[in-house]
Amino acid sequence: MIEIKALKKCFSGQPVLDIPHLVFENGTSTVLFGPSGCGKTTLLNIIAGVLPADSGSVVAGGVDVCALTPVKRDAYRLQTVGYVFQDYCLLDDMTVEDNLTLLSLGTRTPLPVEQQLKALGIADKRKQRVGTLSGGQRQRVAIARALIKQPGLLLADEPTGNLNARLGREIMGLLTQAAGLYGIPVVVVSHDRSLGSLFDRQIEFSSVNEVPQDA
Amino acid sequence: MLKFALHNLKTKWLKTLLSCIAMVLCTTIALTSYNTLVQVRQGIVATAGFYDTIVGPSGSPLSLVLANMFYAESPKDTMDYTVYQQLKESPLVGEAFPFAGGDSYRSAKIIGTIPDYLARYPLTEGAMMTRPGDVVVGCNLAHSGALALGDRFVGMHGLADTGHLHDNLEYTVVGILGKTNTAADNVIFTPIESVWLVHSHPEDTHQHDQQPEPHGEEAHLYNPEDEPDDHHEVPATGAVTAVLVKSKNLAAHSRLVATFSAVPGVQVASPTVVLRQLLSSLSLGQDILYLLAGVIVLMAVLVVYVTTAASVQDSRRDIQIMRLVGIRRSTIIKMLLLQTLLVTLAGLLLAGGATVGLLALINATTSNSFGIIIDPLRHYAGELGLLGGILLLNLMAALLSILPLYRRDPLEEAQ
Repeated sequence: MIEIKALKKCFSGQPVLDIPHLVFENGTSTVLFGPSGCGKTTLLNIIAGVLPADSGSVVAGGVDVCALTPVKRDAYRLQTVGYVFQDYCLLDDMTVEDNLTLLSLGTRTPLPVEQQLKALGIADKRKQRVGTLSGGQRQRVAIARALIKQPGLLLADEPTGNLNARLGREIMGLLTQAAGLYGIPVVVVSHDRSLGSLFDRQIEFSSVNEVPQDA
Repeated sequence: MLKFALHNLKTKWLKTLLSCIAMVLCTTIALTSYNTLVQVRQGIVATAGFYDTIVGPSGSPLSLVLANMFYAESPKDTMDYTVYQQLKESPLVGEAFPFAGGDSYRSAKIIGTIPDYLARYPLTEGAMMTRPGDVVVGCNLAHSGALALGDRFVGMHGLADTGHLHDNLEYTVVGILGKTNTAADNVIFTPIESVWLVHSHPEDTHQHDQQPEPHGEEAHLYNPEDEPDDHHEVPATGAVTAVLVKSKNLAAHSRLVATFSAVPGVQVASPTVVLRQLLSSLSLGQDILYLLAGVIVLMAVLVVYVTTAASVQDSRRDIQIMRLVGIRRSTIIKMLLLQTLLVTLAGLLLAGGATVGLLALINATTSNSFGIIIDPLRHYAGELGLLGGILLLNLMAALLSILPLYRRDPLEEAQ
């Protein structure tokens, strides 16, 4: 579960985020809609420990992310957070397998690469360089990287932004399934409202610095 | 981690290669300069340390020392053998060794002396020279294949390959000296009577521009085993180019200098004094060379810093992605340092090999004329220090180029 309380974030003195209270339950998938710049990605980054909050708390897996030092936030992100970044954030020169085992640099735990790639239908791409894959295949690699460490929560920022409608629906399906499959909260940022029905919950960020509401 | 480091180096192979080549070149020059200077200094000390006096014909003391102790140039003049006899009989003298020379075989100098002079050098093959025509050769001549035990040859007048042949005496290699790391390694020693003998015959064939070859059989040459011949009689005495002396003690040395300096046409010099003057002028060159070597090492570090920084810049997206997925800062830094370490170690190892090659080349091209042997396989702790310093500086340079990445926003650079 992720529980957010009195969370505030400003950029250059301009308030971007102000959330009095918000909870993402385990086993549920949530999609965040809203115009650009309203703080959706900022929220994901604060939950992931990539950005520090100005005030408030984000408790995920019993840990208040906002109270962690930068080094501990890195460890939290490595162990607890599965994050599918916008534009994939994969190492293009490395193989699919290397991108997944890269995480073992931090954990030293053998990762079930084969199993994960099979589950996402890209087992035959294991030794292929990421740079040579299609957009859909890359997105699957990014999801595999997020899920392979069995995270405590899964975040995805515009995961279908570069994909066609059919692929987008397929990828969103994979993400929403993960919530039930692993019993974790899944939070996805998207602009594509047609995919909203795939999620258990939809939240609307109507404009900048306004409290998000369940749609 | 090693796998990822190697992978990164492989994907940026051109930059890795250029970085490595730059380091090999700079390090090789620095190591070679240092090693050569140390070996030259040690070679001078090793050659000159044993004798306290050199007596020779009037002229330049440095020239006398270079010609007769380092065989680096032709003896300029000669003096009468009686000077040696007087020195030998003097109560002030512990040991005295006469020298005569001026001939060569394939650019290797033929030095006439007495067999006792070679007593302090190890004889690894054959026997000591005893009769005119016998020669004992330095180990480098044997190892290079120029001369082997039993080879026979005739000498050439002068030290260039264009002199005339002294074909009235055939030399035979009877012994080979062990390695001394001195000028003796490149020299052919023969009893002094051989030199007197070849120069006592006016009817030399004087075949110019002809390179002698070792041979097995040749008629009409002097051979001590042949029947005695009026024309080939060994002269009882002749000229000497210098006499190396070890005085009985310090007081004896002073008296010896005073006594023989008074002999007309004779000069007495102290090799250590002459060489100290030479070393002090060498010291200035050494300082300049060290300074240049330092600049070169600094250039190597700068090149590695620039290439490492460029490589880190190229990898900055990868690094920021690693940060985003939560890989610890220390792990990322260790991986990048490992990359630098691998490139540096490869560069330093290759530089070590290249230095041995360059020293061998320097030895091959200069030892004969300079008289100092450069052993390519002899190395010093200072070189290890130099290599360690370069390694350390490179790692520091890498660290300096990595750390600024942590002041940047990973989200901005990764996407």
